[in-house]
Order: sequence, then C-alpha cells, then structure tokens
Amino acid sequence: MYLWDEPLPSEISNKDRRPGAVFTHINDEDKFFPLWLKHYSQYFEAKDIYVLAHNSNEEFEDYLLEGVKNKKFNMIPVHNLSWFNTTWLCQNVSMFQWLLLQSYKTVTYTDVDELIFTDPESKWKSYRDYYENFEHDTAVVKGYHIASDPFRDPPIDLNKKITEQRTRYLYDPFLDKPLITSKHVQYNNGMHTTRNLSGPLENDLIMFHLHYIDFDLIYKKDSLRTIENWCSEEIKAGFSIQNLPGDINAKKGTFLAAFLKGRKIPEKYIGIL
Amino acid sequence: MEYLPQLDMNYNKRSGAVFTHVNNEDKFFPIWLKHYSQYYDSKDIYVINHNSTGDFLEVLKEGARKEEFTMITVYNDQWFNGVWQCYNFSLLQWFLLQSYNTVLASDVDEIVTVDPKSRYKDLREYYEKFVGNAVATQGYHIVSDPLNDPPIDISRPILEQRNKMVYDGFLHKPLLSRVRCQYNFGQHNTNNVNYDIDKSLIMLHLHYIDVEWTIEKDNKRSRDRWSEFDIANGFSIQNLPCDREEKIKMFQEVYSKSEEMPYYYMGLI
Repeated sequence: MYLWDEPLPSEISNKDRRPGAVFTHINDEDKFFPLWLKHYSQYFEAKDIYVLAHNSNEEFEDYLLEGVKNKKFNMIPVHNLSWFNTTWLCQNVSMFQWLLLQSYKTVTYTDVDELIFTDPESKWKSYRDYYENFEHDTAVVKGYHIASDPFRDPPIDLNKKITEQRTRYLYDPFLDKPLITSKHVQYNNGMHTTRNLSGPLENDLIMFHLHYIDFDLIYKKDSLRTIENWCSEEIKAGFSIQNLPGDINAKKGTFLAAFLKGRKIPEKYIGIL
Repeated sequence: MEYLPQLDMNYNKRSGAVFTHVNNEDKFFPIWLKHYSQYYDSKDIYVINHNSTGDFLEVLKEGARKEEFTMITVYNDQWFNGVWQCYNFSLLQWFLLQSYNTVLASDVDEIVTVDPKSRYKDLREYYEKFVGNAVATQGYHIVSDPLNDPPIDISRPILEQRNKMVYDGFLHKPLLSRVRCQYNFGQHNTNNVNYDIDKSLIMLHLHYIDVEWTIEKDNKRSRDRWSEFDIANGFSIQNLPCDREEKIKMFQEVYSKSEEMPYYYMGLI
C-alpha cells in the first residue's frame, strides 16, 4: 500500500485539527515584529503563532528567545546567509504551510509588515471569526499601503496606534494576496499569487501594509542589509529590490508618491491598529 | 502539475539536522537527545511534540527553553495515526532541507551511528561527507530477556546493560537523506527515492530493551484513541496496549533469535 499517489497528500488524516495558525518569516525586524505579534495575538492563541527566524542578529535573536520562553509564540530558525532570497523564502513559506496544515484547518501567512483584519462593518466579528468559519481553499485580502509624508510627518511612535498617527492609505491591487489557505499552497514569489489555488477576493478582509509608515525607519533598516549578502540572481530578476539599500532621494520619492496618491483612511479603520 | 520546487536556492545550507516525533517518551527521549547531541549542534536538533502531557511535556519545554533543541508542537488527539505521522515526517524533512544539506529522521527509539569498524570517525563525519540522495541503515534490535534481565538504569550506558541484538531487514530504513523523501508508513521505505544500504551506518532499535518500559508506556495509550485505519491495517500495532503475558511473550520471541553484540559496539550508547 502506498501513501503517496501524488507528491502532496490530497487528504489530511487528522480529524482533530485546530482552527487556525498564523506565521511570518523574519530577519531582524525589531520594529515591525512587536506590532505583528501584538496584532495577531488578538486573534490567535500563542501556541498557534509561528515565527520562522532567518539569520537574526544576536540582539534580535535574544528578543525572540525571550518571547519563546514567555510562551508568546513558537520560533523555528531557518538558515541561509543571503539577506534576501525570495525564491528560497517562498519555498520555505509553502513547505511550512504544508506542515502546519497537518495540525490546522487554516493557515495564515503574512510578511511581518502585513496586518490583516476584517472590515468592522462586515458580518465578521473579528479575524478569528473569519478563519474559524473559513470554507474556501484560499481567500485574497484587499490590500492597502499606509502612507506617510517623508518630509513632514513626525517619526512613528510604535507604542501608539498607527492609524492615529498616519492619515492616508493607498489601495494597491498588487497587495491583494492569498494569505489565508486551507489546502497545500504553492506560493509564487512574494506570496502575491499561488500556482495552484484559487479563491475569492474578500472585500471584507483588509490588509494594511506598513512598509511606508516611516521613511527613516525603513531607510535605516535597508541600509543595514548590505548588497553583498543578497542573492545575485534575485537582484538580476528584480525580486524585492525595493528593499535594497539605495539612494535616499529616490527612496523618499517612492514614499512621497504613495502619500500623494493616497486617500484619507476611513474613520471606521481608525484605532484598529 | 509539478508540485515540488526543483530549484534549490540556498547556497549556504548547514550540514545536517536531525529530528524525531515524540508522544510522552520519558524513557527513550533522554537517550535519543544525549546520543544525537554528540553529533549535532543543539540548534540543528528538532523535536516534533505530539500531544505530550504532564511531566514529559515539562521536560520538553525545559529543554526548548534551555535551547537544547527546537520543539515544534503538532496536534492530533489520536495517539497513533501512522498516515498522519508519516506525512509530518516527510513534510518536516522537506522544510528542513531548505536550510540543511542532510536531514536525519529517526523514531525516538532509533539510535543511528557509524559502525566503529567503518572508515568514519563518527556520525557527524558521515553526514558531513554524505553525497547520495538517501541511505538506509543496517538495523538491529537491542533485546532483553524479559524475565531475567534487570531493569535498565538510564544513568548508565545502555550497551553495558544489554549485550544481545537481532539483525532485522525491516530496519533498513532510509533515515538519512539529501533529497525530499515521501516516506511510507514507519519510514521503512520511500515512495520516490532510490537508496543503498550502507553497512557503515548502523541503527540500534531500542524498543525491546526493557519490557517494563514498554508495558508502562503502551498501557497509557488507550485503544479508543488510536486510528481505526491503522488498527485495521496492522500499522504499529506492536505498540497497542495488551495483556502483560502477551507483551512478555513478544519480547521472549525476539530474544530467542538474538546473538552476541560485537564487543566494539559496547560504548556506542
């Protein structure tokens, strides 16, 4: 008798799966990770939160280990000396999702600067209510950048609500990502699409992308990641090159463009994060 | 449709990881951990924790807190579900191969090491030099006389207390691999990878070292929480709770086939 009639098991032989797990893949994210953890801890129990830790520096690794010791989440280290290698990252995410599906009915993956919530005017009480009642193979979130004026906005205070410090957001169809899944997923680079699953675009499922919330914060972070440690094939292919260390004015221009194209964040979203 | 990524995009993998899947294994797990910690850095040791409880769960948590290994908890209310466990093994192996050149997947009572008479200094040297797709171990049960042998003292070397073994072709398991394996039940073979048996790589199976350990452990796992599919198909049914006499008879039968262990194995565990 053979278990495998295709490379991935089509049926999961576990009647006792938990309703949902969430995970992210991080590399020295001391600013965004606490926000990510605080946000998802509202909707997931600590034991259902997983962090793939990629080459953290000593200080950030200590911070993560402290979180593990205090039972805030589970951490699994992954090893690759390249800072960015999106193909590898994407395969890591897919394969870890496959493993989690053995124990969970749904898996939510997000980058560390991506926060999902349900529209307060929708029928869903919360994101927990959403994933506990999830019936699709995947669903696509509606994605918005939270924008900031790189010349005028004060530095973000990460201890205060983000939506009370920034006023504009920008819808971006590129952020409509299939981040919640209930079947084995083969993500494409950046997890913007999948190769094998389809699901509805959920207007009630909002994702706020925090990359543009503070110019100095991002510029400092990117500058620490020297270009020598990037995967050269990725740079040639143009994957995630927005995170490469680069010219300060060009980067400011990108932030300003997002801000100028942005619209006022609706009142109903203020205070959610 | 191609399901598995063909590109290996990590040029900086670590040389090896080892993992096991445990469910309240207070006797075997310390032996397993002590053994593999000699050949793997603690950050390369992974433990899939399945529904462990009580003192053993605390042992695992404490070990993880002390960074002796990384623990990944999995959830299934059933004690035994061979299909599910086998997928867990395969999928974690695939995931670890993203970061490691080799992965060794072993049950908690399986001690893989190199034959002291082989050309390898130790298991670390073996996996660091390994270039095949996968390799199967030469497997032996370490056995005990259930009515005459004294209880195992866990603080002393195991092979100073048991010196009989039984060769078993069923223990030719492809436990060390460099490519994604689709393991079949019990990881005795794979569905997708060809491999050789290497007599340099031996596996000592500890299931039969102490009948009282087995009786105590098996009796805690009530039959009503086993996978019906597994029972119907006879998977891992040697671990089902059963009558004491029956278990002793099972151990006696294995012991009756045993031979002396080579003297140079004595210090291995």
